[in-house]
Amino acid sequence: MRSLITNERVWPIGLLLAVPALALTCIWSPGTWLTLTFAGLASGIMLFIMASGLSMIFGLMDVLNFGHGAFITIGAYTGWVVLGLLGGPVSSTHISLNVLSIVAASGLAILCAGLFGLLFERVLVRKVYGDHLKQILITLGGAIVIEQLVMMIWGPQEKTLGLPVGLSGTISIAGATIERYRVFVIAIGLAVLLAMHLVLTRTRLGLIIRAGVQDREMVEALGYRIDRVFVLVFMAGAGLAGFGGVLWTLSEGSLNSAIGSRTLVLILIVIMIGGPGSIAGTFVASLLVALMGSYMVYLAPKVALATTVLLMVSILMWRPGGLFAQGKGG
Amino acid sequence: MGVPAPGMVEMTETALALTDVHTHIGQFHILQGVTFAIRTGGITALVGRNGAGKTTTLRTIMGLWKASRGTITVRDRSITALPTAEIARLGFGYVPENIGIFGQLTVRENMILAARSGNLDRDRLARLFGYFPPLEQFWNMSAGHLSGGQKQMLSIARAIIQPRQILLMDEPTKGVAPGIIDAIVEALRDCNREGTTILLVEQNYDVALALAEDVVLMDGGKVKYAGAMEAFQSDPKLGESALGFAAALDLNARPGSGRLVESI
Amino acid sequence: MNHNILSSDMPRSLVLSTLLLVVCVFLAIAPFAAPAGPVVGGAVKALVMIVVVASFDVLIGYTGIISFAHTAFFAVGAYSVGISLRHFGPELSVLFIGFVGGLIVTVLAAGLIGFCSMRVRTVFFAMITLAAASALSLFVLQFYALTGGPDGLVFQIPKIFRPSNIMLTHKIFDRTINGTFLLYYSIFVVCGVVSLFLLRLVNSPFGRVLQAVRENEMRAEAIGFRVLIYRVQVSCIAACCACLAGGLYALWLRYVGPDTTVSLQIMLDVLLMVVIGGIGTIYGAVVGVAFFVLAETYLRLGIAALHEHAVGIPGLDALTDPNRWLLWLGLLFVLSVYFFPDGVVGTLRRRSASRGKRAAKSKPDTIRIGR
Repeated sequence: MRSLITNERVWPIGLLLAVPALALTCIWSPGTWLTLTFAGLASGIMLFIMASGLSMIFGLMDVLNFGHGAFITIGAYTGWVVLGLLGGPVSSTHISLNVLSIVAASGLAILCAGLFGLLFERVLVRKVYGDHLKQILITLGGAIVIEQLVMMIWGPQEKTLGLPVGLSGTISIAGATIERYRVFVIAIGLAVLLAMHLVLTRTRLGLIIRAGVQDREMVEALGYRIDRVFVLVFMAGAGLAGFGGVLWTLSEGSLNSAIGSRTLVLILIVIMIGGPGSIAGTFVASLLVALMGSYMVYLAPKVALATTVLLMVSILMWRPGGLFAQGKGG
Repeated sequence: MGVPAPGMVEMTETALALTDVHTHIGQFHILQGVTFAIRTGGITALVGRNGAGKTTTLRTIMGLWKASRGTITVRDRSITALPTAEIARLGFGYVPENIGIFGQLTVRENMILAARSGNLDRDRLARLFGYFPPLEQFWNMSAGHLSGGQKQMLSIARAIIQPRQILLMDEPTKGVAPGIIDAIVEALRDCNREGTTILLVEQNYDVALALAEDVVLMDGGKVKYAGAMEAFQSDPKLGESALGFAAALDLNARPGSGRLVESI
Repeated sequence: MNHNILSSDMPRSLVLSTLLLVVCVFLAIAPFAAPAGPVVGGAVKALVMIVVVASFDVLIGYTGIISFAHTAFFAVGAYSVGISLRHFGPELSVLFIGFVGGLIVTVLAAGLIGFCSMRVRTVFFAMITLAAASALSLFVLQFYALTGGPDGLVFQIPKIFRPSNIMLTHKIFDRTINGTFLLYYSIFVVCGVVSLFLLRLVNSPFGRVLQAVRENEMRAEAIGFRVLIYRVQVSCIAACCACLAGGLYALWLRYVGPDTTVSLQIMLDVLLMVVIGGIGTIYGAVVGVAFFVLAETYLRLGIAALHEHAVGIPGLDALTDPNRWLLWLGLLFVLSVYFFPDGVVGTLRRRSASRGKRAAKSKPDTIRIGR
């Protein structure tokens, strides 16, 4: 616990708390502020779920997968198909049935995305270890192919996806209208975060991953086949991306094949701000980016993305490795 | 510790042998035909100037850099083409030149990782705490906050938390206070007594003298001399020409004489 | 003389030389060769893209900088010319101001980007440029009043370049020599000069330093080169080339819009062209562009023809749908990186060198992006 209270960690968390505080001064009405904050938190959590996999992959094996968006797309479409089939449970007012249907959709989405992740790694990524330019090119190419295939199978039109009835609508907290779904997402996200934290800190696999992010060579010198660990991480990352895709689609209400590439830029920004290989970093960065986006869309929508980019550049000037930079050993 | 562990008594004489090993890093031809053999159960010092290729040799043995030519064998089994993790699992312990501890993990987590089978042997750990008290003191502290010398202790402790066949150590006493050097020397002697073969890169000539019976001298990527430490000591030509720090070298030094050798 | 013009960086392969010659000749006579329209349009696009791809190659192949913002500078050039001509009238002086304005913005932005590249690792830098380019494209789409938003801007060009400006009373090869011809050949000359300039640049001492920086930054710094200065300079030079190309393209089209300038697809096209042509060769730009322009027209036609026959066969029908052009592009991408990492130029040069048993001149044929 002591290590958490060291100087390096305090500043980023301070920054994270400062943004909503600052926003409150710009947005006079606390009700609006609360709505926007919840929206930002929910988006941030979904962003975190999608980005965490890529962050670990990059941090662990130094692999830039520009095709990560494809996993999001696959997950999203799988979820759409499953939820379409589960008409009954979705339109029921029993929350438990709603949640179950989302669990089913997500489960299948994670499976499909994870399998695609395995395929991606075997066929494309394996060939270009160590060469960043080729990684960017080949994964971009792969992403385009997958996106086009998705368009081929399901057509280019936008699909609508309605929220399960029990989770739709709004509730009132402190006089502000908060979408029920957003609260649900936040709860799920925190659960995922907890699960990740436990795996990373309590299991041997987690230990290997954390050590590998810092010094891959030394982990191998200790006798661990880190390339096998990597495939697992890649698949898990892809699965998580798929899961995020389902949640994101439900929150947006509509789906098209560009969902992957749309979110990819944001994900890359998040990873760079947070520092590759750090779950905490990805989490803080996701919330930061999403909250800022949420407030800016309200305050000055035209410059929302530009502000995010500016934020990223400033943070990187301050800490070139990201907020929670993982020191790479010798 | 201190008593040969079961299974540690080897049948073959040679624990590790390099034959005409070349290593290229990019366009640089660092190792230019390295050949030597290490006696099982012995402690061998690998000495030479900066840039002679000592670290590269250790890294090549561990498979971190691939040899472009030549063979490396462990007890007559070729390991030249094996991946690092498998080489390690053959019973290697490795202490790299840059210490290589995981700064964001605690001391405890570093040690757990090092114990491949998963469990830390309580007795063995107690012995290690005896040699390196700070490890017990800072057991749950983030390893990155240790001092340089303490990190070195951790690195060594990691390498010997379980009995190993061969220990490769790259300057284990660099940046370490004299009192701790003694502890390190003792710990290594203990390991050797239980049957561990040690290959030690050392710029600190006193430590090399104190521990090693055999010595391999490298210069310019090649082996200039491989043999007993005594013979090496008593040959003035070897010391002067090859080592390059002849002026500071006291060829009549006895272990623990306190003369530190400056390397160029 | 050939050596001088080509800065001693000869094609070194008979096949390559022939290819290059064919392309150059074609580009030189395009306005005469076919009915003005698609062919000439394709030729102009090719000329402009050659400059963009070649300058991108200088960044990626010689300096080791991956910048997704490159096409953003193309857009800056196009929009500054377009906006000036639209809002200030179609005069030559306005055109000049448009170009200069674009170049100034480009130099400032590229300088800043080059400066930032020092603080972060290469891959971070690549992602930053991607994010910045996305921000720019959103900006373009949203500031409707200035940029015309998604519809873009249409404008008039200076009189001298218009078809109505008949320059010669009698026809050559049955074609009327008018302003369009002048415009085409102006673009041809400018692009040619810029390309040769880039070729000279990479073969000069400056270029050698760039390669040294790419290979090992620390060593270059240790030897005494202020790496930062070189990075900033090459950043600016490459960006200015892209900016110039953008302005020329907008001038030709008499239109500027997000679809021709800031879409991600253009960046992908550039990447594909540089990969197919050959990274780190400059000539690769010519080959890559030629291949791409040809493929875009004829491959598309081929697929469309297949589509006619494939109607009714479920899988094939969808695969050959002309809207699925990107699918083939993506596949092409992946296959080229897999099997053709040196690109056409690299492969041809290697074959020629081994055939001639000449020692290949030290050229950057593997790209190692350092930290």
